[in-house]
Amino acid sequence: MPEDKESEVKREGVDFSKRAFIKTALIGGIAVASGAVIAKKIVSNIPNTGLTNASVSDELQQDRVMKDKEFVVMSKEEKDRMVQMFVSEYKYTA
Amino acid sequence: MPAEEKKEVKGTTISRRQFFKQAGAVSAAVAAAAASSVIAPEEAEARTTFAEFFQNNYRLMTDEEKKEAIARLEQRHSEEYGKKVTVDGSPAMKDVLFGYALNIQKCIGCRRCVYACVKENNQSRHDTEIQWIRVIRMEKGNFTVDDMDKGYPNSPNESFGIQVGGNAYKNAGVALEGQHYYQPERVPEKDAFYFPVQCMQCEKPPCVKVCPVRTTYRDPDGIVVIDYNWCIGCRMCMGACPYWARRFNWGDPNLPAEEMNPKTHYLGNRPRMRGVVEKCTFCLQRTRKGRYPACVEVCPVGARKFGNLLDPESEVRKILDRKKVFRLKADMNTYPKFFYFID
Repeated sequence: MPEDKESEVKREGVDFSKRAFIKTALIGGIAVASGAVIAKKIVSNIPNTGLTNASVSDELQQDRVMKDKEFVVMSKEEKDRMVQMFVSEYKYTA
Repeated sequence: MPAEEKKEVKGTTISRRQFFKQAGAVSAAVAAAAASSVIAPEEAEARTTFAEFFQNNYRLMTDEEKKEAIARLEQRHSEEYGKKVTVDGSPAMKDVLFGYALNIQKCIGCRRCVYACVKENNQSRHDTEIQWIRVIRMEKGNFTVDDMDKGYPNSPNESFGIQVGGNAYKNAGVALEGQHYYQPERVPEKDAFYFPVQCMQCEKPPCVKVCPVRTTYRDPDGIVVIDYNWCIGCRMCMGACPYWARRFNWGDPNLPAEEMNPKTHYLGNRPRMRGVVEKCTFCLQRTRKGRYPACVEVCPVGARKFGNLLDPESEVRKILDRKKVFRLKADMNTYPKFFYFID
């Protein structure tokens, strides 16, 4: 019987024991995880020249905003009304 | 056949399958070690703890959770920058509503405010450079009465159409593209005036309305703040802001350890990460302690004024009472608390 069991576990040189399965799964898991980390690292380290352009483009938006500007001096009534609104709508919530 | 493949090595039998397994295990271990050594030192996010990653929105945290979050940040930033970094969590002061006033006539365009702000608020120094204040150079020009009868159509030769006036062809008050990168030898320049723009801390902020995760909100003292940990980087707030006052971290911020300001606030100038939005907070790490913002303090001509809008004796209220004041894009009904004035 022990011979039969052994032959079942090691059929044609392939190890089907629980220990071997866990070992294989563990090794596979580590390999996949480390592969993913390295891939992520490589991808994020590729110099991206688009970043600066994107940032500059963001900043230039402000110039475009300024082109639509409108400067109207506030009247005394307008200022008083605004300050009154600030004071009356103030609410402190901790 | 498998028996034939086995080889004896110092009394151990190794099949080809076993050899591949062991070789695979060794190479996986080497790869894992290499990967961990690569990520360890450089990125701030590599030091982020799980607790920080899963923490709640700052507004919804209990006092205990806030203390824990602050302690985690203090420890991480102190390790990262090699100095004692403090993260303040001071809430808004009672009976205070901050307002700002800027004398457009006095501004000489020296941009000391910009650099003081960068230094105080730990902004990225390069690749990509982030500045919360933009000083825009604008053309001065003059509108004259003499030119009123000039311009298309050239009367009396052309008798049709409406006279537009010669002043219509002057570019006075126009900001040209890229004018905040001006590098003159001396300021102020003869034909220019300067227009600093930053977050207006609107009383009805459109950026707050559009935030899908409510990471940006208005504190009781009127300052619009951002919980950087909760920001998902969708840039909706940037699109909503009519003043283009918000900045996005396209890359990892570059903040040299020796230039890092260690006195920080959780909602203000603590170091940010890639993929989050940031903006002016009226230096709340200072103003909530009774100090002036860095830009007010550094302005060499005293063009910048700051104070409590609820206090009738404050500088900003006196300016509102006595000076000619205008707001940027007042027609948007955002009720900015940043006022421009002239003497």
